[in-house]
Amino acid sequence: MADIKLISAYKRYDTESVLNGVSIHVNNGEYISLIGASGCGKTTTLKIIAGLIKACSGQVLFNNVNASKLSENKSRAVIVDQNVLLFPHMTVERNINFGLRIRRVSKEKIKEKTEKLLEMIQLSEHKNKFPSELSGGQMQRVAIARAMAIEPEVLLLDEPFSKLDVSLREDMRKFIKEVHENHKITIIMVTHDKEEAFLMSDRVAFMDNGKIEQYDTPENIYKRPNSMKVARFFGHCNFIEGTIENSVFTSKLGTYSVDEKKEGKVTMLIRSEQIKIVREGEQNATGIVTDYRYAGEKSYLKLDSNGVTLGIHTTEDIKYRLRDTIHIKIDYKKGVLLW
Amino acid sequence: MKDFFSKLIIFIMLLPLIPLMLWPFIASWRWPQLIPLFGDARGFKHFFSAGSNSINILLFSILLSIIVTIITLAIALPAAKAIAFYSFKGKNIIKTVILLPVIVPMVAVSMGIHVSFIYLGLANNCIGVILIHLIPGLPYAVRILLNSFLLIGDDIATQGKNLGANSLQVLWYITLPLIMPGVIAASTMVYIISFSQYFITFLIGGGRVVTFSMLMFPLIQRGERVLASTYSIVFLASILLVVIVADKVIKGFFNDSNFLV
Ligand SMILES: Nc1ncnc2c1ncn2[C@@H]1O[C@H](COP(=O)(O)OP(=O)(O)O)[C@@H](O)[C@H]1O
Ligand SMILES: [Mg+2]
Repeated sequence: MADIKLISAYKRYDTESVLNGVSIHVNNGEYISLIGASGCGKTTTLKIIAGLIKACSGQVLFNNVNASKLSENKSRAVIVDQNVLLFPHMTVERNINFGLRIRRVSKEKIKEKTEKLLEMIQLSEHKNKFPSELSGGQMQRVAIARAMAIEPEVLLLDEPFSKLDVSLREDMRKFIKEVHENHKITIIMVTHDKEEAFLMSDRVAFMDNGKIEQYDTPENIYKRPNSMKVARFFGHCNFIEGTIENSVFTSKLGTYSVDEKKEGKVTMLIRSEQIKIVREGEQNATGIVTDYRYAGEKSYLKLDSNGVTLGIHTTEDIKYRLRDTIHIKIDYKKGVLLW
Repeated sequence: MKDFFSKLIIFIMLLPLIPLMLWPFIASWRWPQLIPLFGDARGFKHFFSAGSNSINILLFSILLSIIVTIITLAIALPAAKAIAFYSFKGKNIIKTVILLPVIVPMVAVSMGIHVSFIYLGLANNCIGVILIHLIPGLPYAVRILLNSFLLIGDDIATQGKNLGANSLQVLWYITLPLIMPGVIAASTMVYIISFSQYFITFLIGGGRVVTFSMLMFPLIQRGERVLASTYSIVFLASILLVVIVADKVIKGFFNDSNFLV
């Protein structure tokens, strides 16, 4: 177990700058997710933490000790690559204990540990099979066991679910959660699935363009995003432009008293689910339907409300027609001010 | 159907070998004889006779070509790996230079090299012959191994490193076993190319280094059918034997279950 700090990591390849000052602090035993669009530098960040590539500048600290001062061979952080990368010429068993064998651990110890790990991933009967004879989920589990065998302080999971069928992901999530809890290991997981990040981790770091935009608990990331970029990534949003004067927010949709001392132009984020369709009389705004899409468990609507376009969704099974006028209630209390 | 055609092709390719197989045992086959007169296999007698020294030359040739193969691979492996995974200045030039011997006639190359070898004292001896034999096989070895490296990629070696293996362990336990099919193909190719060289061996060896193909050349030139085909059969059989043994040895050596604990 270890507490890890990555301090202002910069990385560029030839002409392309991939990381523009990434800093992240992961507590001992924490489970965090790195999330962001493809190509934003997530894998690069993991590889720098694992010491597999060198940052152009910046530091990695394990328990406040510079990683470059620690012997590289200790593999304090082990990556489970997004392509799994089992050794195709070794059996499941020998894949798992590869790290132990090269360390010349005693035969008995290797045997004991391998058996335990095989049990953990429930592949004891398959220990003599080769990777090509396994299913995607089984391969993924072998890769995790192989990493766990050398007892790293940090497990780095690079998109561990992306190659799995949806039906397998649930099992895999449970399995990884169990590994995390039973072994009290620090985990950094890369994903581009926001639900997965929220479900699995204590904290989520949202990356964009080689920078961490926000690093916080799932709840804070969703409810208190610090920019439009973050807000947009994690859910359907409406941005209402307005001004605040004397603690009153004024926009084309009307006025609302806010608990805010600052004054001036501001954008208020209202999530789609914070606008409800209500009966006449209960509304604080009205809108004309400009678009309606049925998506099964919910329907998506676009409204024009006094010149402001609002996107909302409803789970009620009512069919709306274009140009219908509907009454809505905007839950300003949950609105987030983005200056 | 596909099976039939592949069998047909193999048959057509083996067809010329049939007379080759027969000739060593023929005493005379002159017009208008329809059926040859079979004799006492004097080709083989000649080959095994103490005076001919053929067996020693064969063994020497095999040894020479094995040494050439090992040195070629020792050069080709790091070269192919560097070309596959590292970006460096002049990579394309190096790629071209390595392939050059395939394009430029070996004769032209060796003439120039011969002059230098005379200055360096490498002409007329085994070391010179080994060095000159490295040239024709190297481009093929690098090409084949380059493809093997590209096929397995760099990531799997990095994964091994991440699990704590040092560079030598990664090479030994991961990279080499994975590119082994390429290594076998490359060594077979290089061995056969070296074993078949006639002209450059003659030129650089100055007639003092005698290999098996040099022994065969005058027999073929003189139209000594019985002896020429006998020596050809020995030539083919020796290659086959060396290749099969090498394949077994290399595969057995890099079998993962032999490694570590
Ligand atoms: N070895 C490399 N050489 C050049 N560019 C690279 C290399 N590795 C990654 N990149 C580039 O760096 C960027 C970030 O890559 P990566 O960290 O893999 O993104 P992510 O994992 O978030 O999808 C990409 O644009 C990619 O093209
Ligand atoms: Mg990636």
